[in-house]
Amino acid sequence: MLKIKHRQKECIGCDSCIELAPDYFEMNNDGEATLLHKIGKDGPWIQGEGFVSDIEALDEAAAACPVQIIVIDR
Amino acid sequence: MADHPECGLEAPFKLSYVLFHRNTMSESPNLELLAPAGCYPSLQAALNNGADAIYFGLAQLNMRARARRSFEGGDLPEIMERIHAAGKKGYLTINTILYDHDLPLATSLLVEAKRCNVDGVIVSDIAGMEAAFELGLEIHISTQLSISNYPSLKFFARWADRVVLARELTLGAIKRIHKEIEANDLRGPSGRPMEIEAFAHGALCVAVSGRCDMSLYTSNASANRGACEQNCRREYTVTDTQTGKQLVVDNNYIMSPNDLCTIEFIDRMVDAGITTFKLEGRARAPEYVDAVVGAYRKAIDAVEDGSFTPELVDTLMPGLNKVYNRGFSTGFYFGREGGWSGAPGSKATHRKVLVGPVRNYFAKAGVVVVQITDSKVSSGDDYLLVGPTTGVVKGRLEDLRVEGEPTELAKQGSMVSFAVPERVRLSDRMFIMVPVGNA
Repeated sequence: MLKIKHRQKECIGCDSCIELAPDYFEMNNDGEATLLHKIGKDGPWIQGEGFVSDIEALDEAAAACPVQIIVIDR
Repeated sequence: MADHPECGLEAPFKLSYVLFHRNTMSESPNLELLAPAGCYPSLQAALNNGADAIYFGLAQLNMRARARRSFEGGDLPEIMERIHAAGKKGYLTINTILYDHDLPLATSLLVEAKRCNVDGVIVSDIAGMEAAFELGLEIHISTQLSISNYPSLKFFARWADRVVLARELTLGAIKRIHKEIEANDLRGPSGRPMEIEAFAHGALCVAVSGRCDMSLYTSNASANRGACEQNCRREYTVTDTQTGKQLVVDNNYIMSPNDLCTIEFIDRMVDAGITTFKLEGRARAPEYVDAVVGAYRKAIDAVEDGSFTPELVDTLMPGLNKVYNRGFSTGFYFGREGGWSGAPGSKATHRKVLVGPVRNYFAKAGVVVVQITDSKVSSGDDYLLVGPTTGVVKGRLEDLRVEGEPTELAKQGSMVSFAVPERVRLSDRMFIMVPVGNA
């Protein structure tokens, strides 16, 4: 499994990660992307898991994030 | 200063004309100095230095969403309590482009703004404007809408009491818009004559009033949603892709304008019909807000009491030069006369260096004790004490003492005490202002 880390508090709601990896991110009522499949929290980071087969979409979501708050650990 | 042909102002300009003109206006509104705040120390610095009103953003729906200094939604009650306790006005900025998914947050912020008696909301998106209007909030149209003529302003007068005009207008163009407002007795929903707000000081943008997509194209970071990466502020070279040769240009910072400074001709801004003087800088440090608000307060007061002179401006400029700036120009008020930053970052004559935290304050004696954790201090240094409730207290170090003994130099690790002119707090930190180059 892949580890996904997301600092939701700094999200500016551009919607890109939801477009690129809709199985992993959704928009909440505060206009912030929120990570699905959460497994924990580490300081400001919300942690989740993803399938290795989804690496392309997750990497694209991380690269597109304008405030660089998505990290994918292999 | 030379008049631009587009400006329409007579030269030499006579101050008496301003005063006469203003006295003849019916319902002449008071001039308002509008200061930025992105954090509590800046907010307090603005209040302490005589700002008439403060504007601020919350959460991600403001044009400084990326800024390190930023308020959260939950800060609104305290922000407004502080502003109203000081008898000033507070304006909430929600001036990003709004996507559908932003609307619940925008609406909840506006509802909270109404509950906290916010004095006005600065909006650009029509959805935000309509939502604010339905809630009965006073609306100010953001410069992001680039209002540049009277019919556009008149259109928005159905919803808004004030328009922040496009930064690209000349004083002559502003004056013509103002005359139309007066001639047509154009009023906003409050019944007051429509008010003109304009930028008086701070950063300029290479794009039309900030409507730039460069950052969006390069990094998916929309400047119109407060995420500008400031690509324009970087150094660029021009490369011939066939040969790889790089062209030498005089100024590699070819997209980075220097900053706006109007203090020299603030009287002419008044004459053009501007009633609110907006200082840019929600992402700037508290000492910036302290210095810029203080200087413009003195200048505007002088215009109002008839004592505004070039000599006064000369006394105010060193304070403006001391804090963050990219060099100054007159913006577009006389047509584009200004230049480019020509260098990265600030051209401030001073920079602040952290000394350490405040450890004690003796109110009766007016003496502060600071632990020197970072940088030594010497007698004669200019200091700042900065904190969320204090704002900025500044002065020159005199009668420096370490463990009660007078000293000229206090080194790292020591506890230093000295007299301060105002109350400071344990939440404050001390800095010294060091001339650039003397790090």
